[in-house]
Amino acid sequence: MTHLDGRQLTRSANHTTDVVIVGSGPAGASAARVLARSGARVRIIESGPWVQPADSPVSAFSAMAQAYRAMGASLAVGRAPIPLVQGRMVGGSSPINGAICWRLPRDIHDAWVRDDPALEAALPWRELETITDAVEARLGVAPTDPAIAGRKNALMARGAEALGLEHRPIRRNVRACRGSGRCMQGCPHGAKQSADRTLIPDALESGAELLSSGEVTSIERRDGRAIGVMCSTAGGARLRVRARSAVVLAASAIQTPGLLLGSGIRHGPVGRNFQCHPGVSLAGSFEEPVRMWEGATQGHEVIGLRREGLKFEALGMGLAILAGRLPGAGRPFARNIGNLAHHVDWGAAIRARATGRVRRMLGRTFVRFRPSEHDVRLFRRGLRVLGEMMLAAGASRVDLGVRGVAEPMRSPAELADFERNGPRDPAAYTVAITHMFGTCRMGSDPARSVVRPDFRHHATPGLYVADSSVFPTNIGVNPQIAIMALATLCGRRVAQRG
Amino acid sequence: MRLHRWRRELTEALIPASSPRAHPPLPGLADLDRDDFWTRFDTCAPLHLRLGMATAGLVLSALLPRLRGHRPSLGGLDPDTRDRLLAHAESTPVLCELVWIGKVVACFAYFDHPTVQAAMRGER
Repeated sequence: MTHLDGRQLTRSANHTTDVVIVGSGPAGASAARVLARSGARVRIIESGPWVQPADSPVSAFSAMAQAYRAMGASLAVGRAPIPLVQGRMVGGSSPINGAICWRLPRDIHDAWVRDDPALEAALPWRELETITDAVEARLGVAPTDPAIAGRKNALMARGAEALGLEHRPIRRNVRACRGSGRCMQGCPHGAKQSADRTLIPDALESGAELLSSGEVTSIERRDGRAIGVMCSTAGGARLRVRARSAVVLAASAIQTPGLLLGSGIRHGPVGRNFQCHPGVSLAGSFEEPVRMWEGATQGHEVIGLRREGLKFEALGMGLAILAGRLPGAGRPFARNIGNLAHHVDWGAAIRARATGRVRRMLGRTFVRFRPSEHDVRLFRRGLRVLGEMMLAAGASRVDLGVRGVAEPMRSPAELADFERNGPRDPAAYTVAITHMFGTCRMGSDPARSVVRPDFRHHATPGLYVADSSVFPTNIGVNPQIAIMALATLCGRRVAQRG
Repeated sequence: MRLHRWRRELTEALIPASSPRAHPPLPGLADLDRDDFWTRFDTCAPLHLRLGMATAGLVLSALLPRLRGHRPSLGGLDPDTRDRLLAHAESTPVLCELVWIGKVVACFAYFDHPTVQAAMRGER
């Protein structure tokens, strides 16, 4: 296994390989695994460090400083700034996500094919299913074990049952999970089967090389063809990595278009069509302690309204994040912190209709995104349903965390009134974005897409995109397994073309 | 540096010690040595968060008390007056955004401390 730590690389050098893969998250790791197993020489370049389970901190601040891009506080700008939560470490966001696994929904695939029939042959459903089966087996995907789910997840089941909403234990990629509630800080026991624990080691065992703490700064081209990348290491070295066969971008739906634009590769709608799942959350207070920090971080979900664009999940953030959203300041706030064990936070992920844009200015990447009227209506509906579930589960009150709605709510009637008359302004809502798509969308029409249905860039030979940038739309569910499936397909296409 | 003093005053005012009768009894942020946290915050936090925190400290610790007729900054006020000022800020447009930034950073500082983590573990 070859792993180079860019923090220790201080001398500039030139390297040559067959395939350079930019990014080591679910997409980069999946493509690397396929390509390395096909016999290609593969070099993966990751901008963040490789964090081992033993180094995963308890504190949310330390985890975010260590493993989150811009400490989890990079922002999409629009009507109001919205945090974009992304990992920046080997494994991408997979080591610090909630381990939630969803297969690409069939209805989403069908909609993609209806919009562009060329995708039917390029993304054959049966092949995607077979790949997904293999990915899930490798990652140990299974429903959350009730023995370690913890009380907060059981309460969500109770609330959903009372409202007659379809719900289920979340299918997660873990093995021997102890329910320590620290998924978002990185599992300290290595139970989460994230890309850094599974696909990356597989790729390295097949001969791939990994450079961590190395930031790719540009794509190099000759006669219009991608021939490699330039990279700066955290140790100060400048590396030129030549790729004989292909450059594969897998750096996320923000960094991939940013890199293309920064390298002067502006073909098609690159950076446009930014889509995402903004999330809102609601805190409730229970008479009995729930101890939200115990049990599976995210172990239960309510899926009955998925086709409306709403999916609900139990949350399990670090104590600091949970406490930061409690009401009050000064002694009232300290009292609420003292009662933290009685608070529960649940979230709604919205399949937003609004699209945004990734731009490159002054050497930096910016995201513009403003939730639409429809999306804000879903915020209100999502908060109402979450509140009703929480009250049905036994909460004495719920706090919506919406500006202009200071008082906690104690009845379904108040929540129904909020859905009808709550704020229309997206800036009133506390929102975070965790899943991003579409900025290098795949398609047969070069005017409407950035890559072809086989993941090749329309205008730059030798260049491929493997991450969720290529998804034509958002998918309404947690995307890591779908990303792995499509990136595996991308790896196969690169290998087939040699 | 005054900006650093003001942001500390703000975060310490936001999380005072809990009542001794509380269970678990929790220290206030002022009771904890947080020099190491602020050093890491200044190194790791993105520019806009650092600027937001500096602005929150300046406005809520230094300017708001003056505008409401008090000579000392937030840290020099008695607890009742401090809480009244913070409650006013929390219910005022724009100022509430600064309170929110202050609370987020104060919670980072607070729950990053081993004493608080141990107290919460005890609560389990």
